[in-house]
Amino acid sequence: MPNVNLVGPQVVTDTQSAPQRADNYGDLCVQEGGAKYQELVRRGYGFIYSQASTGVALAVPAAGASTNFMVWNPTRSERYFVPLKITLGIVSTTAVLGNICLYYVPDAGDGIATGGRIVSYTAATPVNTLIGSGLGSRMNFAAGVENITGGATFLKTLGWSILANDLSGKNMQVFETDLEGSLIFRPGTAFIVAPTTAVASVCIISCFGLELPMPPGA
Amino acid sequence: MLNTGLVGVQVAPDGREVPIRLDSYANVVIQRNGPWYMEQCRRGNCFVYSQPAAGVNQFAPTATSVITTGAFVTGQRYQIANVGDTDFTLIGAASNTIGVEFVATGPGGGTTGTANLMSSTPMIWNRADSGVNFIPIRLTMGLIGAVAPVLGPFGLWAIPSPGDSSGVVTVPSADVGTPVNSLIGNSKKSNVVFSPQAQLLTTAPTFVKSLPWNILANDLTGKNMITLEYNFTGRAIVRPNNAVFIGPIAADAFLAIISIEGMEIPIQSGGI
Repeated sequence: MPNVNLVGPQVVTDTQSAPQRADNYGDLCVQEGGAKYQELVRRGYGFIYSQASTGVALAVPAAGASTNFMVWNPTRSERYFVPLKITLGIVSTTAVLGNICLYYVPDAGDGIATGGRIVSYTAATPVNTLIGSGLGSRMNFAAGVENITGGATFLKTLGWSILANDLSGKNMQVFETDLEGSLIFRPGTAFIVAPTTAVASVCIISCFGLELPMPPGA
Repeated sequence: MLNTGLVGVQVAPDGREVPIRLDSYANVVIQRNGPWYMEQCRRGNCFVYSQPAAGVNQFAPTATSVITTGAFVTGQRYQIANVGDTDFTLIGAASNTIGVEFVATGPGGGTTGTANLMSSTPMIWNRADSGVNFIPIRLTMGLIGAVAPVLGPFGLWAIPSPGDSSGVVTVPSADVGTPVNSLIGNSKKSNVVFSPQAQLLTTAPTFVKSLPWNILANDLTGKNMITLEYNFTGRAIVRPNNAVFIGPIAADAFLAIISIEGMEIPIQSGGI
């Protein structure tokens, strides 16, 4: 016999045991009990990876040293890196026409090594979003310069376009996207946010992401 | 027997069994434990289908027709059908060879050369034998350089039931793109045919809906910054034996990158 629920409104008091409510189609009625990522953040899986408030002049992640935003999930992290909300703030008003994209390095390895894809990077420290927990990230995070042998591979545009060389006097613009889990970086890969052309404008890229334990065998 | 739950706030340590929590109206209180697409992505069912970083000239999707030299449109993609007395290398072709594709840099010289007009939008062709439903998640478009478009919005287009071998849709082998599995580092392949920028269509795609991407100036240079993103969130499912296209309604000719994210969900028994 299937488990059943009770159709129709009920008003019950705390500590009372009550039947679970169903609607007239038999669907279980639910109510969100917390904010979207609250449980994951409370467990210490949420991090913010951000460039400094002074900003960085973004470059194309071509071969050699370039300046942009990179989260590198090292081979031995035992974590999925799930980028979720990405934002861009513009600090200076001089720009080059272009758009902001996602790039990746599929074979980034575990750490800086001779002959490795990522030769060097300027490390920065992600902030655990359970503020006050002091929990550390397992990612290698570069908020400024990194050096990738062969450069990074283009993945997709974020749809953020800059159409003027002088942004002063222009309207405000929101640059924000929520990937909602549609991208996951396995260990040994790297995630990069960068323009298609060197954007002379000094920007701050910030990303909220999850570092989730991998299921056995994944 | 009725399922029951306990009304009110509970605080329990890890490892303890607890009753389902209800609110004061007997609704089951839930807490999301992962972002929307993560389970499908983790299973290897999500992909990114993108035009190249260099961008593509955006034109409305169109049926193939044979165009005679002198009438080639700058920025439009063609495939040489008859060389005749036309030097196609002067208007963007790598060689004067039948089948070579080129993006026209001028109307063309001579009098007898002809070329097939190609549709040059991003296309996802879910073939009849794919075994998956294609579910678009998110579209984005990044503009490149100084762009001078024609006024009008972008739209979603489709060719229903094109068949697999009837020739309604033809993608030259060099024009077949490689979607990237969104579980980066995973090697699972896509089951659909993705053409980033070049198809031959015997019928014009049917307009389905407009996208909220509105081009309101013929010269966007010096204008504001812009975000062009559209989230489908499951509002459309492309079943096997259908092809979908993203492109402008007007015959635009400006460089941009269109990227598509989507899921390829295996079809269950019963065909749903």
